[in-house]
Amino acid sequence: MVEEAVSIGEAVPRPGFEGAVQACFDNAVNLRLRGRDRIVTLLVSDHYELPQGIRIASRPPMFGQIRVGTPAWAQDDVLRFEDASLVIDLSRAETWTCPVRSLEADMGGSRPAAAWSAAWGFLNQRQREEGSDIVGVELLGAPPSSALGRRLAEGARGLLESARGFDVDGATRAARTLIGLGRGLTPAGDDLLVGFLAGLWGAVGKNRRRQQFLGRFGDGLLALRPLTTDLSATYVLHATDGLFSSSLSNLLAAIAHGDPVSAPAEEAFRVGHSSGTDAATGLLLGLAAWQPQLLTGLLSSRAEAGWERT
Amino acid sequence: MTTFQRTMKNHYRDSVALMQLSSQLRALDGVRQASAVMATANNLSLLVEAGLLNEMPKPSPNDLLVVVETRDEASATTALDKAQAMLDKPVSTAKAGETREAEPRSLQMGQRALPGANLALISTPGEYAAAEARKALQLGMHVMIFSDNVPIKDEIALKQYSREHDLLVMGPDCGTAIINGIPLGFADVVRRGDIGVVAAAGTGLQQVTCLIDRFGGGISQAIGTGSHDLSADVGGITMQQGIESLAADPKTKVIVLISKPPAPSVTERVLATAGRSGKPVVVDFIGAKARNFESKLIAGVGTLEDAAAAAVSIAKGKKASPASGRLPAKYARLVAPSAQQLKRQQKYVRGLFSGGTFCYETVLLLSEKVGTVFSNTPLRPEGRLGDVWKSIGHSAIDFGDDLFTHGRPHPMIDFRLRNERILQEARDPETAVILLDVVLGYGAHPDPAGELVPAIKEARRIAHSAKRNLVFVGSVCGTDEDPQGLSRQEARLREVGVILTDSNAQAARLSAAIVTKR
Repeated sequence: MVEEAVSIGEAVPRPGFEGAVQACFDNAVNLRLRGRDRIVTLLVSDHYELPQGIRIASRPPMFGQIRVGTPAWAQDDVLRFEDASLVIDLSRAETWTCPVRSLEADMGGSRPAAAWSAAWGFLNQRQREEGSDIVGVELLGAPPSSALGRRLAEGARGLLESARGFDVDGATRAARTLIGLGRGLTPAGDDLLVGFLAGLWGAVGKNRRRQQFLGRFGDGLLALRPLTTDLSATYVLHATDGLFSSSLSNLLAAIAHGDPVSAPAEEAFRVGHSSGTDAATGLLLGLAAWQPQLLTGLLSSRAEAGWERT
Repeated sequence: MTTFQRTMKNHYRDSVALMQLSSQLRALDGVRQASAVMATANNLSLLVEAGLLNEMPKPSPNDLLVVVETRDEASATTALDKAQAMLDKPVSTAKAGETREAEPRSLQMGQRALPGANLALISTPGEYAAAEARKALQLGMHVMIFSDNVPIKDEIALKQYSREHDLLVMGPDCGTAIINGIPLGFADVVRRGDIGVVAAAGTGLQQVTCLIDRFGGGISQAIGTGSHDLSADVGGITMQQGIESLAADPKTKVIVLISKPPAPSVTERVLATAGRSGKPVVVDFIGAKARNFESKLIAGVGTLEDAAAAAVSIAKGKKASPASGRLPAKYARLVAPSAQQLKRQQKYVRGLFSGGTFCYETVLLLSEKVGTVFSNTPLRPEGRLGDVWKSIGHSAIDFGDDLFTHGRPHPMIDFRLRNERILQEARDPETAVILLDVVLGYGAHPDPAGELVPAIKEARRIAHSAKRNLVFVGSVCGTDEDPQGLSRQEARLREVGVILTDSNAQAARLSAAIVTKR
């Protein structure tokens, strides 16, 4: 059966690659690339893009039943599986380019700030409704009661404070407490971390000090990748290059432009079980890292007022 | 308690699957704690902190670690084998980088999942229902509250809020409605049409809508108000809003109101609203004097059947003919043969009901012919049955009363209590007629006749062994479109000799006629 790919993320190696099926789900097949420490994801969606994604629009029969370990390779614009269960024609696929690096959000502007506040409100409401391990405002307030929540909160605070002080070592230490923390293929700590990087990339602009911090922090993160799952490590890898999923990018773009955020926020929240809201939490914190007035009033104790006012 | 673990190499599951796995393992006998995580350093450290691991093992982030704390090693082996078996099954999740449709776990999520949804059905324990209803109203949704035991002050507050915001609160204790052709709660599949019903009586609403269907009419909307709406405290807010809604609905030509008699001040308000509707309104305030309500637009009737008949006549452009209150000839001819089967000491009707309105209407109609009818829902205090578990004289029992439903399903679903009572009545030498209602539709038992028939046969056997006969009279409330099928259910009951009438009122009158004939 030949399926036609609709789009290919810019981080998918071109012109080709070799690998094997690492995991198989109803609407996604992850391929671990041979000789490279990363994953390429073949996904079924009508709109969702990944930097490492090859997107097809409809689900072929037997898609979710490809055996783990099956060799796969892309060559001459065709992705094949050794058991011939599926062939993907890549020749007409458009390259999806993540727009985050060019956004240059001015989070001091009134419209982006208003959009950020709206998104923060939606996020916290959703997380409370879903009983998430992470509730944005609780990361900044009293310590959550669960051990997982407490560690996530400590890590998030560490990231915020370190980014604000351009403390690369502190940020890397905070990232170390988060990476691989939580259930599932993309643990909550990683989602938070990737989202935080997206926020920083969105807000970095042409500020050299911020750019330097982001570059060095990225280097530190690359060294932490072996501490998490292969899939999550792939997201972290691309995040250090400023590449993120379309849903996270769209939310970031809406905030940067001061556009209505309810629709892109909803799209971002719907990724995975809690991955979407966890990453959105990181994104909003990252955007606020260098504009702490956005968080004014959200901190629960006066002890934080020092950096709140700055 | 001891902890045990198993590592599964290169196993990948999303967080939902791992949470479900942990939860299922915790539910196993002998398992105190269970956790399934990817074996990253941070997750292992969490498990150490939680006491599920004694020491920090070597991390392997692409492996899945299952840890259980169990009573003994055998329980651990069982749990870990189960985990292995579950993880070896093919993945059936949409995760791994793909978006998902969130399972709604709140009204907000439900509304997002179904944009444009404007009605929330609340069925929670009573103490939580008001809070959920308030949320729904604040989201701009109409509300049907199936739950009972909601404090009256909360009902008043909800209804005042809804009225101010042009929303409708059906309930609390609203078991039945048909909105835009969709049966909600206990409700029947009826033809759509131009008759709108507002009822503070669940089975009353079911009877009227089914009879309208049987008489060739159809339902535009059937709005339940809940059983407390017409009290002086609540003031009939929902019934008045319901009338106003139906008055504004171009598809509704005739309005029917059903209730036990409201508080006098409320009656006045409701009738004033009905009068302002500009549409013909049929009123059955069961037990109240119908002629007190009569006006140019309002027709008062005395039974549910009369309400349905009048509404259909008016909708067809005819005048509602006054109800005779007499037993139709097709039933009258059954009176003498039935009465002749009975012995001298068999004097009483024993009504055993699953529908509260049916019981109340029966007490009313029966008492007109036979005098006092004892009941757990009596017309007057002197008719209250001292011991609801034992009938005296003419009796009518509502098995939907809280007395009988505490800790067990409603009698429309669970027939055990009523069936036991059928046998008890059969043993009583004074029982002449056992009068039953059978309610079909969504929410009701899938085969009510199948539940009743064995009890009826056994009751007859008991009576025959004492050289007596029993007369069974009943009515089936439902339509052929209901899941149980009216004709099928009636046929099964007729096979065991139950005399069926078209309505509850006729069944009550027929029963009265049989016991007074002797």
